Amino acid sequence: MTAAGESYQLYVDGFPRAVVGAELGDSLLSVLRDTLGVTSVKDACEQGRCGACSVLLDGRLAASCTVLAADADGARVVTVAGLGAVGLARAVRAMFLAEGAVQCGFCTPGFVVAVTDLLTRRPDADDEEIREALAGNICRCTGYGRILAAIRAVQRERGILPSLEESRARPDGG
Amino acid sequence: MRHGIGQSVRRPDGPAKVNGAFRYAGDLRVPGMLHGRTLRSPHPRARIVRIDTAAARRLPGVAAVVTAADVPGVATYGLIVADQPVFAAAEARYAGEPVAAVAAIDAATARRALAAIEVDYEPLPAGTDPTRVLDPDAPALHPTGNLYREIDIRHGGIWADGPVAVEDTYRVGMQDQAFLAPEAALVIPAADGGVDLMVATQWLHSDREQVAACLGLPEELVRLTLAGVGGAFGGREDITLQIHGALLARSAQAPIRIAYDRVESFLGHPPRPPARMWFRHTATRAGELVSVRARLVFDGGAYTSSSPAVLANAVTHAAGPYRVAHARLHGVAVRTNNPPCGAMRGFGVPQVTIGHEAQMDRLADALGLDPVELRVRNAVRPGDVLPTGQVLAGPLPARELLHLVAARPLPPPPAAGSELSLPGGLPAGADVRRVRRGIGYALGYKNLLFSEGMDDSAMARVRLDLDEDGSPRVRVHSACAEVGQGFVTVAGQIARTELGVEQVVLAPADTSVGSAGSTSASRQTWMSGGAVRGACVAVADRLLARVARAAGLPARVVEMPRHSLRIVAGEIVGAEAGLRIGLADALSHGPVEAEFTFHHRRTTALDAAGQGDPHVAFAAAAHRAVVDVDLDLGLVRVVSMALAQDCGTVLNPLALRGQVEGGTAQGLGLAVMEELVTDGGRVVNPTFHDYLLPTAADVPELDFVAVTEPQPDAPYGVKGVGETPTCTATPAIVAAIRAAVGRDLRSVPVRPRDLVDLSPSGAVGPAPSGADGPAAGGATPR
Amino acid sequence: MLAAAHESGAAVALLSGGTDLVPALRSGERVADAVVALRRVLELRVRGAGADSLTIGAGVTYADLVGWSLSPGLARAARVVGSVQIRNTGTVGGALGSVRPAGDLLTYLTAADAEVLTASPRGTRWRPLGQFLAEGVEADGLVTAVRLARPGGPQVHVKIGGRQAAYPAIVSCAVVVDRVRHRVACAIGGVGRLPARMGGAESFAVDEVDWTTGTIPVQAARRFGDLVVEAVAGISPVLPVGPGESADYRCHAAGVLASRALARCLHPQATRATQPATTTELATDAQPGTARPSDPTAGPGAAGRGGGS
Repeated sequence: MTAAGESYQLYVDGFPRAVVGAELGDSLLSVLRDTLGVTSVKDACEQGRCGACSVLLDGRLAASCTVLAADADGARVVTVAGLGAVGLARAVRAMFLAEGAVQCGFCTPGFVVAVTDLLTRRPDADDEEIREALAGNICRCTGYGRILAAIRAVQRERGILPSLEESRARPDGG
Repeated sequence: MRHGIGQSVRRPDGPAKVNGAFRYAGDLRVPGMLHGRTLRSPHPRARIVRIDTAAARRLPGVAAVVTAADVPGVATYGLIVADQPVFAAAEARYAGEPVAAVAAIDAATARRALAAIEVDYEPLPAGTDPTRVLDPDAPALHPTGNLYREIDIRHGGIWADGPVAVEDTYRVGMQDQAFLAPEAALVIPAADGGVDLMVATQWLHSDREQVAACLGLPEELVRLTLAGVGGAFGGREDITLQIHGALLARSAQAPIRIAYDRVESFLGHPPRPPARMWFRHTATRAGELVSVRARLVFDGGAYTSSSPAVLANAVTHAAGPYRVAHARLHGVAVRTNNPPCGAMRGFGVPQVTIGHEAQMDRLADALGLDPVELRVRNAVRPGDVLPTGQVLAGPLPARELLHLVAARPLPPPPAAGSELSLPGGLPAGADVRRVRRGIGYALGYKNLLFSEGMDDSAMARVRLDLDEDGSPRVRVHSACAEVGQGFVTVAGQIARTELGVEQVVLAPADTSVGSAGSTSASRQTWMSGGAVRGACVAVADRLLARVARAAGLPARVVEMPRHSLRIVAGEIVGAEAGLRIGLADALSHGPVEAEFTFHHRRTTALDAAGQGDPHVAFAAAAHRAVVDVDLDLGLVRVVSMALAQDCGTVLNPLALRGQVEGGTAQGLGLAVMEELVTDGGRVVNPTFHDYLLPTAADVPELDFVAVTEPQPDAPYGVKGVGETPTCTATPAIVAAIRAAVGRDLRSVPVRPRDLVDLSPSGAVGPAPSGADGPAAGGATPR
Repeated sequence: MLAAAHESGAAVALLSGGTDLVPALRSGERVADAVVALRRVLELRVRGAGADSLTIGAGVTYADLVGWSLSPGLARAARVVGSVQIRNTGTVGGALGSVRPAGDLLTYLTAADAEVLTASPRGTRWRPLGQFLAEGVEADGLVTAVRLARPGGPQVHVKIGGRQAAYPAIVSCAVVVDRVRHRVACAIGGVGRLPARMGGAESFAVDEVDWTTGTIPVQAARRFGDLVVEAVAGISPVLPVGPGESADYRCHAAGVLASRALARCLHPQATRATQPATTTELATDAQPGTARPSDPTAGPGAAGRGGGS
């Protein structure tokens, strides 16, 4: 049991962070943003309905606004900043930029986390699976077209989808 | 030029956005800042008998409590008419209207302080039916009355109707912008008695003017800087928390962070006004449109906001992009005790496009004509006279758009075995044999820029200098609000193209430079793009003149340097003069700076008959929607969307695509799911749990074709592109649903209950109350 | 632990998944002096199978249940809850704790005759779900597990809402068939405060099923839907009337969903098994090798309003 006023610890992007002075009912989102200053995690609905606050909690994709921070005592929290600068997360970020998947960008950190999680679990996810799997992340600017394009570009880069040149070379146009 | 206009240049703010480092208004924090919160009226209409803030002020940690009594300047604000109180004083006129605000050491204390404010309300009967508030016996909901504006357009000579007529009433629900980042600002009181605001807005200078007036300060003491904006779509054009934050900061003499959560965001900014619209279209038996009558009732809610301008757009576009000999287009925007409504992407045009396109489909049915063919036959062409008397100038390739979109390949039929792709998705487990497909079309057009004689302008400042390494650099300073649309990208492309310098930096958008106007009305690429271009040209002129002078070239060259000298790939070249000098060398004598204010061509106001030359220009779009409907459950899935759009010159193909895809998605949301529902004036679904937005599973890939005829009087020939597709996506989807289920649809968003038989008689369902036919809101045109 | 907290007079909030409770705490809808977080209580995160029953710890997440072959109906119901994010953190115990009228899992558990295990300082006890939902959990108590019978036949869970994915249900329906004990159970969510069992329709279906083949006549599946509409129309009040869908639509949809769900469980005799099974499991049939049924019953008249068709 965690009572009001007690402190606890989170491992945020690999670093131990003591949480002191948070209110007991605080969500992981508000502790990350307001207590620890991790503002890359966005607050857009605080009901688990938009995905802007998505993080990996002990390796699993979670909406941090629905997680009680005190309950996450000792947990590993990975935000967009902790996904790493190499490998899949780098590719996801790069393709979001190259394919125009960013406009206002407020949903982007959550999307980058969710897409990285999805492509880790299901590298060859097809279009319908991708769309359904990302339904927990709302984007109001892009209409998702460029986000899907970015994901396909990541899959192409990683050899999961044929490259554009290969697709064009095929008689049916791919 | 690398990264110049016409190329898919990437966003300069993109890397920070994908890394999470980009700072939005809600991310700003300074040491010692206090937390502001707003107390709102729970009643749609109530007399405020007493407000007692003493208990709240006494709470430890509370630094300031402000109410209407603490507003030192003008008590009201507004974009067009200053009728919205900073805080409700004697009367609250909508549920959610601010009554007081507090600043406290933390958010929890601020919440407690709000709870400690005692307000005695005496509820009054609320006027929430927009079709009733103009009745002779309806109470005035405000000293200035219940009518924001009435427009009556009479077009054509002696009235004539065609032998074939279709007539009906349509209803469009209240759509929220639902930008993803809720409202937020950081407000800091300054030592000079002024105040500094870092705020997410669409129009810094308009905010400044309104904040200064209410604070009773000269404008120069109110300084605004644009903080990161997480989407806008019209919803940040009005003041929300700016004045409250400034009052709290000055009262507490401390920095204030004031921010809304989602519920407060839904209540805090004006959404798209709901509309009731009656139309009667007549045509010859050959399918030539003869007359269009429309009567529109737009619910402006409790305060004016943009309603007069929204109404003008709605009425002037009500006949659609069609030639029509006779038109009588009447509209009112009314005051109710519903939430104030205002600007959202499309600005009055999406509503009427839903109406006129439903009418065109029904006319096609009545005539036995193909709906595309009917539209092609009647589509406007440049040179045609619009119902306002305005002669349509410039390119408007409406028929070409229809042909293009109709020729796009159709998607494969619904597949058995893939529940994800059937209506309702995986959870509904629909049966493909109970799914019916429908195809629908919509053509629409939308005005660009501000209308009705407004001398709108945008200013930009450009400086060309050398960076620390001695390389040429362009610094662009514009107050244009980057809300996600990509002006920061386009501004750089323009500067590179005009000055031949790769390195462009954008100064923060703030009020230390002249106004760029609003990021709305599809205007910023044209207006602020034009300003940046003009300033770049002026910089080039000055630099070239300086070089010419230094090189001892003749006076005629110095006076008109661009006739003889050019900037090419980092060099100034004058073939005739035999001159060739590196840009860096030319700039070693000092930087060059220029400002430019761009004006569009003048328009005129509407006269009493609704005649004039009100709009600067238009852009058109045609959508084709394909939907699948579960016939038993009324569930709809949008299977595919194709769009042909009149885009003018394309400055950035990637950004264009993002705009039209996003605009289409918002139109899709209005078609099948998005509505802010009020019950007796109270919003009942102000959360993302209850106000559903389209997800990636709802929005199909867009098959997009751009038509790129340059707009003659616009910089580079651009047209604004973000709004038009929002106007046509909704009616195309509604048309496709109608085709699938074979019944006329009168209410948008279309709900499953509208598509299944629920009553023993099999009636479609209740028609929208009160606005049935021409009786609503005034006299019937004859 | 709980007892100690309660003796101190503190308001204790039990947190299982948190997907409902945390937003409620934030908005001030719920207030707590102390929170007992159950995420890390490992014994609550276990699911197990006995000879006749399946037991699922209250801390088991929806994601843990997706793809659980021993209970395909539950797996399917869990699969369509919310989004990936919600399924990863939302739990069985949380679904019982927050009791949303159209809560996805509750509808299935209601049809499956689930029992709920609660623990308090006075010990533990099993209660039928209906009784648990009526009585609630004791102030010092805690939901620790849910118990279900092992599937004895096909089970189907379907729901509808306002978009293609990640939606709160407007109406949900679960049909559970026990071919061994010759039982049909049907629960409808979204038409009352709690999911409701459709007793009359169930009895009707039991009599109509050919239990040797596990099939039902086409007309009977339609009539089943009509009976559900009648039963739902009798539930007062039909909840909620608001931004979602009207009461009459909910009634209608309940009938369509029930008729379809039953048809998927009990292949209608007219045109049975014409379609091969696909990779996306539609009907979750406990009996291996059963082809996916086709569904001719769900015609427009399958469940008209007021039972007339």
